Amino acid sequence: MFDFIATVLRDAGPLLWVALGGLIAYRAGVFHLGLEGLMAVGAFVSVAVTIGTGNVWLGLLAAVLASVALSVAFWLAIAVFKGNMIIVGLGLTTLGLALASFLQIAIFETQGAIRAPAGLPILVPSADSSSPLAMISGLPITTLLLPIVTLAMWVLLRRSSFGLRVTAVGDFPFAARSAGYSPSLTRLIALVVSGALIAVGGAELALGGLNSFSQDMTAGRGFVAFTAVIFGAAAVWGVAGACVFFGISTAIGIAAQLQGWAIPIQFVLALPYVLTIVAVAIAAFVARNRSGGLAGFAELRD
Amino acid sequence: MSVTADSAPAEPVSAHSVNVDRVLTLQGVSMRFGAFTALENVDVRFEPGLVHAVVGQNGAGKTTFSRVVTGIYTPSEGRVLLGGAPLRAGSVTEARRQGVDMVHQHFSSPPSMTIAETLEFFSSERRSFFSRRGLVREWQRRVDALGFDLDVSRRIRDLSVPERQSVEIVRALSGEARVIIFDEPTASMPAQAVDALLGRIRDLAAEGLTVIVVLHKLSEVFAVADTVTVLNRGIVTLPKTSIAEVTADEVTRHIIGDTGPAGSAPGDVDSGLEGDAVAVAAGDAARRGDAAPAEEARPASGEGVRTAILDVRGLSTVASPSDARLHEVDLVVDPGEIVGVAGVEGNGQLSLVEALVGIRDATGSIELDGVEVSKLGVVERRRHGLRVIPFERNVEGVSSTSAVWENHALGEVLRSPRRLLAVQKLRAAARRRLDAWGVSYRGLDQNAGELSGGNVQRLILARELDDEARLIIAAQPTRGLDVGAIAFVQRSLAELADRGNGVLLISTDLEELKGLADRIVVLRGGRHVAELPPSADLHEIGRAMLGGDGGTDSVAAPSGTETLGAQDA
Repeated sequence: MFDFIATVLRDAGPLLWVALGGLIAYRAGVFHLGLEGLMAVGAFVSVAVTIGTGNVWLGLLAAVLASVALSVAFWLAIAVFKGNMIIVGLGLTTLGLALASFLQIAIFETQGAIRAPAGLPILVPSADSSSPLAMISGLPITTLLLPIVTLAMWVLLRRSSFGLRVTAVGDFPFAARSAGYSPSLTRLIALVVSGALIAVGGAELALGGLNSFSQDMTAGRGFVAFTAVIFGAAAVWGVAGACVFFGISTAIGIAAQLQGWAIPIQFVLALPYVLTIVAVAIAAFVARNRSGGLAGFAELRD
Repeated sequence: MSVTADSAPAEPVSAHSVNVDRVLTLQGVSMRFGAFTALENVDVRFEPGLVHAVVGQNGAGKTTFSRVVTGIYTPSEGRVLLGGAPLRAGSVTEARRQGVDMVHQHFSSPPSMTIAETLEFFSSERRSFFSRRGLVREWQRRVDALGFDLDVSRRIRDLSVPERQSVEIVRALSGEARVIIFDEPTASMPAQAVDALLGRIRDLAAEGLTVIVVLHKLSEVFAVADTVTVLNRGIVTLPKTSIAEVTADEVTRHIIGDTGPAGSAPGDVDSGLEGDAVAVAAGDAARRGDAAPAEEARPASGEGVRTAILDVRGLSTVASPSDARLHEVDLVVDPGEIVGVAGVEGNGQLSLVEALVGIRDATGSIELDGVEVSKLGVVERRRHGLRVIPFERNVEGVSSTSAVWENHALGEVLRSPRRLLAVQKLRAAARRRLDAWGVSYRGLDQNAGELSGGNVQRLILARELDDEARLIIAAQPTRGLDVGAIAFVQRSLAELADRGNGVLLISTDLEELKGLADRIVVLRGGRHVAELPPSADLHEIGRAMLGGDGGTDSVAAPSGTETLGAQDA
């Protein structure tokens, strides 16, 4: 049971970092479909720089810088050059995925996995499966920081004047303007914060145990994270819950494989995605009946 | 209204010293947008402690006026002074910092926030971090102190319209507003909430603020204001006057622009009107010159020989946020007849046009040339001869980003059941028709958005006034056009009617209606409230539109029925 929880958290950790990045962008009125690309860039840069310098923290820092730089480019494209944010976001995903693969081949001359000499620190490397410590065994420090980060995010978005400003910009830009704020500048700040969070998620995916990078290792997690933002009704705790839910469905899939359940493997592999669709459909249905929750979709207009 | 006298004892000394910097003065203010003059040489001084009403029809310059006063626009000429010092223009924030705040007609609070969050967000003494309980306690206290009955932990999107308005007022009061402007505050209010709001507005003035209220309903003006200033087409036609010294009749006359005694020539109004007045006179002449066939057509239909072109019975629509809903409207347009529809904008004209065209759900019957079309779609109705010149010619009338020929071809495409298009034929037809209608364009492939307003309207006429047109709905067909184009459009409509077709002319320009129409129907609050001959004087039409008259019965009676339609569903 405790190791099942560890499996859940291992999957949910990177997802939540990325989803929190998507959340702050969403609340500022940006549909961030570039999450997948930025996550891939974060994963690649963290591994590449860790290989180059031997220091995992420099790797993490470089990943954050690269992702923030691309986020600023994203902002320029949508806020200054008025590009369609869906198209530009998808373009950013394509660019990020391709850039990571291209640089991997250009620098390391391999299409296989590249291995980092070190990974993010792991507090509890191993624990007896009957001990509660097994819940966090093998998890990187960044996963363990998540409760604090999520709480900080909640305070920032829901209990600070900056949060009101972000909400106003995303909800009703006219209000932000008439209170004297520039919606576009607010979005830039949100996207910079978002870029940093996404990069940590990507770095955790690569350096949180596997300590390697390979092509397509994000495997759609960026999109799942975006789904978590919608599913969680753009509320911090809702998003965290959605990420844990996705973690559980992945963990069930893994457990099913390990236990050798008598069901086709394809079904087991598809399970997390099927559950996602079902959950999002239910959430949308509930939201429509309460006229709350997903209201963000209708209200985030410019 | 003796509001100031009553309130004076509360803060006699301080009020006096503060008062000076609460005086808002406009000196020779003009506002131009290109060739269009929205405000012309406005001089007015608003003192604190009083409610000042600014009234006028739509397009009279009221919105421009409030934007100049709140510093959103920098006037082209003249200046705005607050307490003797010039107001720095630039932004709402800047104006708010100087003490001028506006309660918008369209609310400015983010729907997903709670009231407390909204108030905190707009407050100048914002804290970086807060606890929800602290926020609620703080703002609940201030809201209670101001005497509002609001639970500040509720979300904006769950509030009723009057409650949202209250939030806006609290927001303005929690700053250091010295001058508060209400932009048509009753426009979207349910009638039963209007009195409370007007009482609130009077209280603000009693507290020594300078209160300016932009209104267009006379009953409300007389219920709330101490002074009234009338704008008509950017010009002050009635300089600020104490409400005790005017009657509703006089104000109505100034709003409509008929300043002389009833029955005087339409040409002798203020200078800015001359252009239009001449054009109307031209249209008038064109119409009256050819009036004979139309006059003959009507008795014929009266004998029941010919069926009406349009026969609408009991037409009702559901509420919509953009316009009043229709209540059981009956309307007949006979062959050869132009029926004018008058009314203050927002009283059901849009609902009427959309219901007739078939893009708004409606109940009741619509007979077009004897055929019941109320169950038919837009295209089928067109096949029965319905044509429309829509309100927004550049948005609804043409596709600005499509070529001129495509915009014209749409008319034929909608008429013919063919699936495949013969492009060369359509282009040739477009060239022929556009030339015949005198549209000046560079080439058939030019985008319609590049044409001038007059040419866009000619393009629409060329498309809509084809040989199969039976009923043309012309919604504000001459608005914003130059003199020549106005005369052309009016002449075209008159000719169409003279060929035995019907025209439903919706206009806010009463001179135009009087010049062109055979009968004038007045819509108010989505109801057919009056039907007048074109010889009716402006004052009479205006009274039917505004629902105010001698001031005896109007103040209480109309408010119950007038605005219900504008409520949100």
